[in-house]
Amino acid sequence: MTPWLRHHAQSAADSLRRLGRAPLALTLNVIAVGIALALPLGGYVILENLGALAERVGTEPQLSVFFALDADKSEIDRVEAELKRASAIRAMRFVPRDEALRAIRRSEGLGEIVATLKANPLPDAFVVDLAPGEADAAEHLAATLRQMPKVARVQFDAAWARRVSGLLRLGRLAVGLLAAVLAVGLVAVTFNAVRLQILTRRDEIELAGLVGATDAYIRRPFLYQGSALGLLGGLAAAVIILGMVTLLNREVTNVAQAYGSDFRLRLLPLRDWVTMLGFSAVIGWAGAYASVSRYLHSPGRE
Amino acid sequence: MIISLSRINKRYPGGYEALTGVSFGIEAGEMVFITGHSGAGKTTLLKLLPGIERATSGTLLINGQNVGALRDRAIPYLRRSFGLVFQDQKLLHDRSVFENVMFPLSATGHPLREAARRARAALDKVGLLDRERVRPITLSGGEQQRLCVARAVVNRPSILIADEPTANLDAESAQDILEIFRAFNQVGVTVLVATHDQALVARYASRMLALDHGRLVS
Repeated sequence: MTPWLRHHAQSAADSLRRLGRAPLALTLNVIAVGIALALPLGGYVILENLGALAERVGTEPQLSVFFALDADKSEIDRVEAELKRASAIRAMRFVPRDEALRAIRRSEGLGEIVATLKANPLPDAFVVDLAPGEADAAEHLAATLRQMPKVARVQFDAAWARRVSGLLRLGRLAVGLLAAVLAVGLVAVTFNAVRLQILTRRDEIELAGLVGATDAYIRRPFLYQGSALGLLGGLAAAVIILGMVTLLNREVTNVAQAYGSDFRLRLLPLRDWVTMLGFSAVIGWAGAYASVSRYLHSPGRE
Repeated sequence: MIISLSRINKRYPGGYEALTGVSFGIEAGEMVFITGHSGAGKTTLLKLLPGIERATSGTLLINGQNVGALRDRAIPYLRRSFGLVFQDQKLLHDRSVFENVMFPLSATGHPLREAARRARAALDKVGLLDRERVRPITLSGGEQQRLCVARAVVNRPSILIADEPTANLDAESAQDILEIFRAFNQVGVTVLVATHDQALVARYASRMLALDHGRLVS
């Protein structure tokens, strides 16, 4: 093992040992970091779930094209070609009038009504899923389709979908800003925790500098300490969020069942948890780096 | 010359002039005493050599290297060629005697086994090998100073600097310390000792540099 790697290993082990020697201070710092991280993280979890819920009820704008009852295949093909050229489309499917009738017949309570009909009153139709963020292009497409022969009606109402998407975007921005502000707070918490460690080891740091230790050598154990503090805070935040989601899910499940839904709050995917833990470790590292650098470059230090 | 100072001035923030126009040279393997009353500039002079303080003007060469031109990040490597015995000792009282001597080696990345071997050899040279496990606080004043010497020489420096190493010691302990310095000097280490005790220095046929109010007077 090279001296550099050996010192990294020693610094990491030494940092953990020192953190363990002051369990009360460690616990309080971890709780402070954990709560500060849990706030934006909890907001993010809720927004992700709201996003998923909005998707389930179809917040993405949809466009339906209904043909006149006497529309023939060539007119339907022309509309299909127009739709295929459009960029605002994510997916589309053709619903023949017979299939539409069968679907209604299967619907609970409507079967008997449909049975009384002498002829199929439903038109052929295209149901088009629009790409997110393409509302203007979709409106232009709807206007074009309305002008085409044998198109009886084009149904496109993006207003409420836009409102939901806008609120979600606003929520994400708010969570991002909250995370940024709290990240500064986390740097300050780690900065202070490491500063206290520096003060208790001031003699050792001073001596190390005098006998030829580099700043990187002196800084290293504190960086491990800051990163460990951040990481433990991240784990604490994960536990807080896990507890919150478990508690909320009891009520959410009851409400959802009343609406005939199986919706429940979901935790973030593993990738997001790993990102969050990495972020908290980096924040801890940054706080420690700032703290040691400030000490190393303070006036009067030998 | 291993150390060369040319018209060195040192002015502290606030305007206090600690050294004025100091010039001298020291050959490798010399043992030199720097004397002067308290406030004469001895400590400042010794701090300039390993870059603990920077000269305000003038040229300081260590092994031909211009210390004034060194970047801050090069200073740690300069300091590794020095052994330092501090006026206030700077012992780590939460560590054993052995760990104190190991410290300069572990702080500069030496392999543990090699560092332990060297630390024991250094402790043996100052007669403290049998006290390696105890804390420095349990040692007498003379033993603590010998521990400082062991810590200063453990990295095999080419220049050994001691700032008032015999202050607070009885005559016998002071003599012991200077004998240890002489022993290191006899194996080729350049030794600089700052002291105000001229009577002690007079027993040695070594060069003496006298400072008075920041100026070299003899």
